[in-house]
Amino acid sequence: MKSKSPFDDEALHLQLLVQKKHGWDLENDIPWDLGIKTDAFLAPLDEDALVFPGASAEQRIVISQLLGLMVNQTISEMESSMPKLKLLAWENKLKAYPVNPEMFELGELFYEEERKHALSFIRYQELFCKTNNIEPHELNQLLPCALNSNFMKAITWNAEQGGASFWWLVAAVEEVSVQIFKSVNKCRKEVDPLYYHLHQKHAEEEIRHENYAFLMLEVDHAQRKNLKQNLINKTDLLLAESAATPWVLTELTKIYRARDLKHKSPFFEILASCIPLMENMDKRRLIKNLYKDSPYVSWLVNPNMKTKHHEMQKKTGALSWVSA
Amino acid sequence: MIGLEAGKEHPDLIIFIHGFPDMASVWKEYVDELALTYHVIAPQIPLKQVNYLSFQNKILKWIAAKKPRKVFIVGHDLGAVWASSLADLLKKDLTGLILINGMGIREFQNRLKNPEQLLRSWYMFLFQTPLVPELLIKTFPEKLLTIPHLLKQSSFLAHKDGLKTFWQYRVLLKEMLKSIDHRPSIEARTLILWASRDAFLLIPKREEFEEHYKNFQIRIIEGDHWFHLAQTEKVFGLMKKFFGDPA
Repeated sequence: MKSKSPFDDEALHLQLLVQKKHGWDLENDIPWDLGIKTDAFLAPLDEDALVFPGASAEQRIVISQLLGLMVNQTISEMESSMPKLKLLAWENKLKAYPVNPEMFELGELFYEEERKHALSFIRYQELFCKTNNIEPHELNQLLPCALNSNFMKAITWNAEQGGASFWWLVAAVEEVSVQIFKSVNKCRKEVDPLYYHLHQKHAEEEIRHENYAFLMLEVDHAQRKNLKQNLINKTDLLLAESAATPWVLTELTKIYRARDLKHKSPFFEILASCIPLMENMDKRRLIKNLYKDSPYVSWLVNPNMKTKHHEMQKKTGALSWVSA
Repeated sequence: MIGLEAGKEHPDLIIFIHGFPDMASVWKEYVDELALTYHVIAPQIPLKQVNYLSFQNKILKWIAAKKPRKVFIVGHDLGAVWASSLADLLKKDLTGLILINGMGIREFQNRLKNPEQLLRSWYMFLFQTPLVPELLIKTFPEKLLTIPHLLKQSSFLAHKDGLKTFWQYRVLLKEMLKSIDHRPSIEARTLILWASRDAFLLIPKREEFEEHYKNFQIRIIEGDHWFHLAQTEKVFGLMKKFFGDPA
């Protein structure tokens, strides 16, 4: 039973027990010894192979692998950033509105689980590099990085002002993580088994604790505020959306760096050969595809895709690009 | 002094102190329920002004005479001020303290630096004026009692005699001025229960209690200033867990 209210201490306590009982262990509950199948898909693709229409079977696999690694890295980057904002966005908020000890305990567990998720995705990336004879620092050139980005600076600034953009962002990542697993699950047979298991375990815990970000938004909404804080809170969601969307799109452009790396490994070579497919695409269609029809990317950049946000947005009166 | 008393045969004592403008009878449901396991009393705050220290000493002497195995004190609203002061004096002789929508003098003193709290406590200053409160209480007792209703703070209507305990606000202000340098130290486990929609008191921050309370827990419960009368089952549950906790 997941609590819908931070005031419902009994439901929070039950949730805590359930999360503790079913929590998985990074070493023992993920079959790392399966290794990675180099010819398997990671993130299942749509007909257009995201934005690479007409890609060959070989190209589709590499695009899927890069996309799968990007998904891992994005989740890992978001989850790694959480402890950095723990004091500002979580502890200070709960000290100012100490709703109950269960919210504190659930929060500690939430952070612990997120840390574990980030570590598990990092470990997968390392294993992928090892299996494909890729240098991790070379692969990282193509993958998203949140550290020191303007996006993270904006979210940190907002948290320093007492805002809740961070929790809107976490709520979005939680929701998208579950959607990702549903998509992976549909094509289970074609997907690398280790990638499948990793996302299955990840989704299990995400589903169990996905309400925590919303509970924190509820706590934030219930707090007494002055005019400045009210104004900041009104625009929290807008800021989270405005900062995340350009970040995701900018990070996607890193794919062009594959051209510089094409001599380093067959993975980069095939990837570099895909770039003309995207360049030949009509720019309007490219933008439409990324915003509306691409799996993973659209889920992150398009606020309309995050259905659970809308209810909370209505409740808190937060401004969003959807309502703006 | 004793308003309600039950469960005399039990060795562990619980004292319920009512707030303003309540009477001791407000705790009846709690006394009846807990008297199955505890010796429970609810002192009546005198209707005529008494000396702060002498009333406090009266309770302390009463506790000492009973020689209870464990002592718990529960205070609501202004009753929490008394409860907190008693806890400071009882030190290790007190097993547990529950503050319901109320706090100690020192914490309240710090709160009054907040303009929003000052506005919410407007009536406290009205009660400082000579004769005016007496006149108002004598002339419009029913109207004054309905103020919490108008503020949508309670479906419970206090007894008009409860208004006569307004003198506590005068004493409280004097005590606040006297105890500016006093640093209370509450050693007993403390449970702070607070309503999410209290029109009279702002939601407490942890830092407000950290200096004076060694071991405390805050729980915010959806409801108004008298939520403990509207949600007795919920509060019973929390209290029983607190009283029964050996920690």
